[in-house]
Amino acid sequence: MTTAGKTVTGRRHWWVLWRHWLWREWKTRYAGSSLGLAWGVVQPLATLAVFYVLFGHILAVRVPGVAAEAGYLLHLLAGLAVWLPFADAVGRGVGSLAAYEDFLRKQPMPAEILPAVSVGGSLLTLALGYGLLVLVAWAHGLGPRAAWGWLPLLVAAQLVLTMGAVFFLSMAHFLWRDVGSAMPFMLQVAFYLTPIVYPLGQVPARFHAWFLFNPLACLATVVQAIVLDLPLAPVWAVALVLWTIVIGLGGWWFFRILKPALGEAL
Amino acid sequence: MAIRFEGVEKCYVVYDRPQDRLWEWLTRKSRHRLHVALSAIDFEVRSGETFGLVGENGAGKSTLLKIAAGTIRPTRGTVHRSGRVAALLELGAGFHPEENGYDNIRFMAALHGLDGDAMAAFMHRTIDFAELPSEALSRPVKTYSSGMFMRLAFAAATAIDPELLIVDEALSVGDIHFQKKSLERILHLRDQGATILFCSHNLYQVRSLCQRAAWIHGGRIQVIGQTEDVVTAYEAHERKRYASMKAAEATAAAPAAPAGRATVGAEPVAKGVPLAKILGVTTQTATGINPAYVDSFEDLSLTIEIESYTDYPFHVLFAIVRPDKDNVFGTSTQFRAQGRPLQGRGVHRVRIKFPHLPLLSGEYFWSVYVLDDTGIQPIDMAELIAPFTVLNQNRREFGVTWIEHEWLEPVP
Repeated sequence: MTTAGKTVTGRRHWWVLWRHWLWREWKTRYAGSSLGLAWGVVQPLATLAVFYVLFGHILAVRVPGVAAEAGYLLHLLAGLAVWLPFADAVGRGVGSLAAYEDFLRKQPMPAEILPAVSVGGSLLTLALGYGLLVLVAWAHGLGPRAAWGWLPLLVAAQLVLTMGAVFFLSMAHFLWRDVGSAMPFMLQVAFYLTPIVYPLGQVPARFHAWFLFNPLACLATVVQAIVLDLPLAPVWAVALVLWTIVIGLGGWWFFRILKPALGEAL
Repeated sequence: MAIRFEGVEKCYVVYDRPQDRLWEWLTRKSRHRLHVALSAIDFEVRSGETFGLVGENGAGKSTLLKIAAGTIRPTRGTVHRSGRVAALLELGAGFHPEENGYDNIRFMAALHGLDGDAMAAFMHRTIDFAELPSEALSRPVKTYSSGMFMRLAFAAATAIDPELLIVDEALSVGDIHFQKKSLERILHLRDQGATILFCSHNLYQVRSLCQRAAWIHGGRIQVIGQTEDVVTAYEAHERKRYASMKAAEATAAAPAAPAGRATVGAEPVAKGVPLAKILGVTTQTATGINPAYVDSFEDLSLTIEIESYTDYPFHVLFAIVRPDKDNVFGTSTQFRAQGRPLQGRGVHRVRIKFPHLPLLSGEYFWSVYVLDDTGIQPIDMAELIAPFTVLNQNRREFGVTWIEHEWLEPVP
């Protein structure tokens, strides 16, 4: 079908719409609450505080091979910088297409905007996580080091992974509503299968290979190694690159190929 | 060319369960049924043309409009269109209740990809048309009355100055003032050269607005061409359908319409405050007021009483109707030589005299409509009221009406 003219095509159109939609998301998400947008900062910090007190102090988890006293805090921070934005984007993005099913039939617009806005909504948490990570590491004399130059690339990889996952899951949920119901549980399982509250070094070595099958574990492990200056087996980086390509492209492909289904339900 | 449909067909793949689509995709085994919503749609709406779609509910009109707007894709065939498109498929669909009027207008502009100056101009046009004070525009739209909401939604939907406007029954919302305004806006866009593709159940509106029309029946174009031909064909079909429905319930008693002063205007068409109301219809012949029986060729006069609540000008249209809804004869104050509308608050009386009423034996009703000054927008209507029976007791000719004629041969 040809769509001549300036209706729903054009990258600029997508960009304008994405920005406004995201802005609306932010404004309306906490509408009526007195803390407002501050919740976007308070929530991740509170999560960090709870884990830090519980695991860092009460259970006194330590990261093997790290001398710095803030070792566990930095490990946790790196893990949460990976996990929280991902879980946030997926948690909200999974239902994004289904929620606008009717709207998509009434208003000509690029459907890709919807999952992309969900990912955009997690950008604040992402910036907060990585910003805090770098600041705390710096304050504890762990950097800056040349290896930190990888961090922007890792953030990019995280965005691609998240985008791919949200594209895939939002479409899967649209076609199969059980996906959304399974999501909280799946996220919980994924959280514990990713070395966030515990360091991989405390997991028996024979299990380590299994973590390669978890894209987020690969990402978290690489980020933790770079920030804490830990040795890193190249297999983690290779796995991360592969996962990024597979999930990024796969999610996009799955979305595009099933996109015609969006206007189809009777 | 503003929009052209080439062999458009739309099949809905119907799955009994939504997950079947996923299973089908995974297993490559068919798990669906096909529902053909549209087929062989081949027509073009020329630039600057106002084109109407008529048809029963479920005939495929809305599907066609959605395909025209691009929200759903045709299964086969192509749609070519050019220019800025505004689709009024549902007013206010993009509005967020928590956001204020200004922000919602901005968002509507963003939906069209407008930014910067273009967005500012869009906002300006919207606010101009919506006629809402800035106090209202800075409140969340969830606090709006439905009338305010519709006004803003319509204003935002048409503010891109569309070159192609797709309208799905959007005119039948809001109060009468708003309906009139939105109609004027559409007429204005039409006069500026916009192409309008428009679907409505209001055949009177289709007749008045559209140059050409198509009757969609069972997902196909049944008739396409000049509006009058298309609407007439559709009406004939509707009458047949109505008649067969009547036949089906032949045993049931006919609706007991009260004779005499009719109880009318109970159900104004417009959802909103009618500006004028039909109070009643009175007929008079030599034998009395509101006679149940009228002789053919008797003098008959009709009085229609309307109360107007505003200074808004209006026209009165009425028709003599047969029970199968066939109009025998209809006319309007607008069709008179000067065609001046009625105006002013208070009770208005319209009186018409039919000398030698040329109706032959049969049952008849009156239908009365109050229309706005354009003669397009109905303000109040009273259909099939004040029934009367005509008896042709003095002559033997038959049919609905007497037609003047002259016997040439054989000479009497």
